[in-house]
Amino acid sequence: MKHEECVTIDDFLEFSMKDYLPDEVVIQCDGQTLSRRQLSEACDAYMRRLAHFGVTAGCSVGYTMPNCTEIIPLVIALCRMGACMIPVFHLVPDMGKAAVFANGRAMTVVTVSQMADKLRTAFKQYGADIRVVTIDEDLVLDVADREATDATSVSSGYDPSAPLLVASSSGTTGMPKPVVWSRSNGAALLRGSGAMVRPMAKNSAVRTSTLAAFPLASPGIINVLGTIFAGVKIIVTSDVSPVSFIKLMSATRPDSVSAPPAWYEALLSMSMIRSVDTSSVRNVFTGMDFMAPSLMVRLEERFPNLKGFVSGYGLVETSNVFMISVVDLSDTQAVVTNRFELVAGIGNRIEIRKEDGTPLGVGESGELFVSGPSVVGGYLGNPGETALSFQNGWFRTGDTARNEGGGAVTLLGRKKYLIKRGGKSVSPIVVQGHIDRFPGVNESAVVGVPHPLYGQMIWAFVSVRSGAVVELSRLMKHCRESLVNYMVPDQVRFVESIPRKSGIGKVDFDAMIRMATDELSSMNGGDDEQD
Amino acid sequence: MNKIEWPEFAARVAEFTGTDAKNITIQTSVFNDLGIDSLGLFSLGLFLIKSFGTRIPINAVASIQTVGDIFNLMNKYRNG
Repeated sequence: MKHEECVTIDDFLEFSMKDYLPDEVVIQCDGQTLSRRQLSEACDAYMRRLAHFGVTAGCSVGYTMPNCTEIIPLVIALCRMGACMIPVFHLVPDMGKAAVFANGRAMTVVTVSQMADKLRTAFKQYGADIRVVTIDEDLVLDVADREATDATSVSSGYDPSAPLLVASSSGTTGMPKPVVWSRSNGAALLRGSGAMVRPMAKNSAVRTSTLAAFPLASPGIINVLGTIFAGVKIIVTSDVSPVSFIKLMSATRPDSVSAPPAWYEALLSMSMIRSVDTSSVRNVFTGMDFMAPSLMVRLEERFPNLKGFVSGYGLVETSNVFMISVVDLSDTQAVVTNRFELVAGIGNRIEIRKEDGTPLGVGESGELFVSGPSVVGGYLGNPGETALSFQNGWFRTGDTARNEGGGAVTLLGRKKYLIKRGGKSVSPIVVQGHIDRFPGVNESAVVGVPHPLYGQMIWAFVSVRSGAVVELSRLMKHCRESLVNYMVPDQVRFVESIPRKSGIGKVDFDAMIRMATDELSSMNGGDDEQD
Repeated sequence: MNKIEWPEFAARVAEFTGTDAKNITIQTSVFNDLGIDSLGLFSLGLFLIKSFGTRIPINAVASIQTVGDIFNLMNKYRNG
C-alpha cells in the first residue's frame, strides 16, 4: 500500500510500520522517546485499557494534559476504536474545559493524575457526568493486560462520515464555533500533513526530524500523526515554551522546525537563540497565519543552512491543511511567498467567486470558496452559522485570493481586512510584502481605516530592527517605486512592535484600526467640521 | 503662531512623498510631479497637520494643485 492509498488510521499505521524501521524513534518529548515498535505496542495496550473503561466506537472521549509521548498512542488507540476525540489544551481553565467536554458529550476524559481531582470538581460544579481517567495510573499497562488476548476492540468497518474529532474555530465574532471532523476529514489531513513534510526529504540525507511548537492536546494532533506516518520524527517540549524550544533545538539538532509565525517572532526576539547552534535546521514549517517576507529574511539569517519554507493554509472548517506553499531558497526566482497550491491526491477543489457567487477566471480576485474531502459538514449545533458559510458543499473561507489556475491561488488576506480605498481594492498582504523588503524593517502590518473621503485609508504600522534606522522618506520612496500609486500607504506609523492577540499571537489588525481611528479623531484635521 | 519656513516645509513634504527636498519648489505639482492621487493629497495634508499642528479646511484642500498652494494655505490658517 502506498501513502496516497491510505484511508483509515490502520492503513497509515500499517504503512508507517512497513515502510520504516521499527526501532526508530517517532516521538520525543523533552528526554522521553517512543520508537515505532513501542508506539504500536502502546496503542494496543491503551485500546485494552480504554475498553475496560467502557470506551467503544461512537462514544466521545476528551483528553487534556501537558505534552507527553503517551498522547500519540492514546490518540491512535481512540481512532482505531472508532471513538470521537475532544482535545483541549491543558492550560484552559477547568470550568472552560468542563463546558467544552460537556458540549461535545464526552463520556470520558483522559488526563494526568495531577490534574484529575480539579477536573472532577469542575465537572461536578458544571453538572457534567463525565468520568475522569488518568493516563499515568488508570491506563498503565500491567502484566495481565499484556497477556490478555480478548482485547480486540478495533472498530469494525470504516464509515467515512463517522466523527473523529471535535475542533473549534476561533470565529470572526470572538465566539468559538465547534465543528466535527469526520474520519474522511481526518484522512485528508493525514495526507495533507504528509504532503507538507515531504519536501524535507529533498533537503535531508538522513531520516528527518522536526521540532514542533504544538500542544498535542489540540486538533493539531492529527497533523502530528500525519507527520509521523510520513516518516518524520516529531520532537516537542512538555511545556510548549520558547525557552524549552530553544534548549531542545540545541540538544536534538532537528533538521526542521514547525510553529506559527508569531512563535518564530518570539524566538527571534530572545537573546538566547543567538548563542545556540542552529545549523541543523534545513526547513521551516508554518501555518495558522501568514508568514511575512521580513520574517522569512530574519529566519534565513538565524538558520545558516536553511533550504526552504513550507506553509500550510487551512482553517478548522477545512480540517487544517488545505493548500501548501513551498519556497525553495535554492530557486532564485522563489520570491512569491503567498502562492498556495491544493494538496495533490485528496480531491479538494477551490473556486474564486464574486460577491454574487459567480466563479471568476484565472487572474481575477475574489473570495476563496473550497469543497472536497477536507471540508467539514458545518458547525456543531449552529444551523444559522452553517447556512451562512456552507452552501451546496462549498465553504466560504472569508479569505480573498487571486485565481492562478491549476488549483493555485495567491492569497490576498482576510476578506474583512481587504482595504477599499477610493473604490479600489488593496491587499494588505501585498503592501506589507513591499514594506517588509525595505532594509531595516523588522515587521509591518497594513490596515484599512474608515474615513469619509477615502472609504478607507491605508495605514502602515512598521517596527524597525534593533539598531537600524528607517527614514520615512526612503521608505515612502521605496513604496512609490514598487507599488501602484493607490496602494502606497496614506500614513505610516513606526511602532516598537506590531500588536498581537493572545493565543498563538496572530497580528491584531483590529487593535491597529482602533489606534488609527483614535489618532484620526484626535487630529480632527481633514474633515469638513474644521471649516 | 510663527510662520512655517519653506525649507522645513519642503523637507516634510519630501519626507512624506519620498522625494529629494531639493527637487521640491513652490511650483511642484502635487499630482504630476509627486505622483500622488487626490486621496493621497489628503494623506499628505494629514501628515503636515500632524507635523506643524496647523489645520486647514477641507474645501480649501480641493483647490490645491502645487506644493506652494499647501504652503500658503497652511501659513494662512496658521495665523487665521
